[in-house]
Amino acid sequence: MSDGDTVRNPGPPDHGEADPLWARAGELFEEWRSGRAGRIDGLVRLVSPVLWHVVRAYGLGREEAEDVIQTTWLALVRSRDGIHDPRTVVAWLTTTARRESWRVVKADSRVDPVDDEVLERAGGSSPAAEATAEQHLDDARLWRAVDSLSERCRRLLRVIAFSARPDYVHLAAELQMPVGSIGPTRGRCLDKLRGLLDEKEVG
Amino acid sequence: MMPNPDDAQLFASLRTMWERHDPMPEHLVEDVLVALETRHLAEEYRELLLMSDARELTGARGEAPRILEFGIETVTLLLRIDSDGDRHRIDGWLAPPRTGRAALERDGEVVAEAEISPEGRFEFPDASAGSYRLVIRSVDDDGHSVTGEFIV
Repeated sequence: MSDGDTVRNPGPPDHGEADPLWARAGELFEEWRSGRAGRIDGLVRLVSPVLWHVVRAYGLGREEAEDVIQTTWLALVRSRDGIHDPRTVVAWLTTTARRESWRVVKADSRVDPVDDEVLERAGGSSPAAEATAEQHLDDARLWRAVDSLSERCRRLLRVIAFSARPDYVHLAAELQMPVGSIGPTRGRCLDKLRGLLDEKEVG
Repeated sequence: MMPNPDDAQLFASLRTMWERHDPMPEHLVEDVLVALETRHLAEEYRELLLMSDARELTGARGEAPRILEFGIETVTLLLRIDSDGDRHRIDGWLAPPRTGRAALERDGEVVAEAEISPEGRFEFPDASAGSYRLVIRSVDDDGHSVTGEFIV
């Protein structure tokens, strides 16, 4: 993968380095690369949950999502020497995971990001999750509100929620919207979500 | 990228919600680690190079054990060869240690196999003189990696 270009120029400072997850991931990555083989375990445990949500945002089924995450980690092993700044390893991983997700979605002809099938594949929650949600009314309310959003909004918010610093250029291509509209769209999606939450509170 | 503190709070709630409703499968991390171990091991050992070949000067006699060291940046393999006439005992140490199997090959055929202990140790107690390759496989690994040839 040739993701080095995006990652090497991570954009505005910074946010990322101040994030404890990014800092810890950078340390583990550096130690692993300099020969402490066991450190990769810690890195995988730390970052995989984030990758899971980023990948699932693209509408992949659970098994597909697992495959994408495995592919992403194998790519890291292959590309370890190409990552110049260890602090960007989380960005590298999330970018790679998003591109691989997008590749799988496209290969599967699910090119339309608002495809109903996509909604169905990623939208369902497990019975266990429903039960848990009932015990957390705020959480359930938020879940229902998010469920009422457009697929595009849901995807955008989920990717942003789990990426400290998503690169908007590639995000724009994958979500089929102009780069300049990501910021405003994000704002509109948040407004819409707040509106839905207020509405449900009243109703 | 999230200048509004209310936005940050809302994103935090969203994260919690998604983590609860769609958690990562529990087995995923272990699956990834197995895949990495397999791949990583194969990549590391493919390049193992002979770094030194020396006699251990423990005694004045000619039968001092011979120490071969193979390595790259992240892995070292030591072989200690004790000879008694034309029988040879080979002890191996992998550092950092990892389990798997070691196979001794001669003319492309496996002549002996040994388990690698959790401490990274393995042994071939009785090898005859000749030219060998040592093949290290991690657990469940299809691929393998090979050290350079060495002569006993």
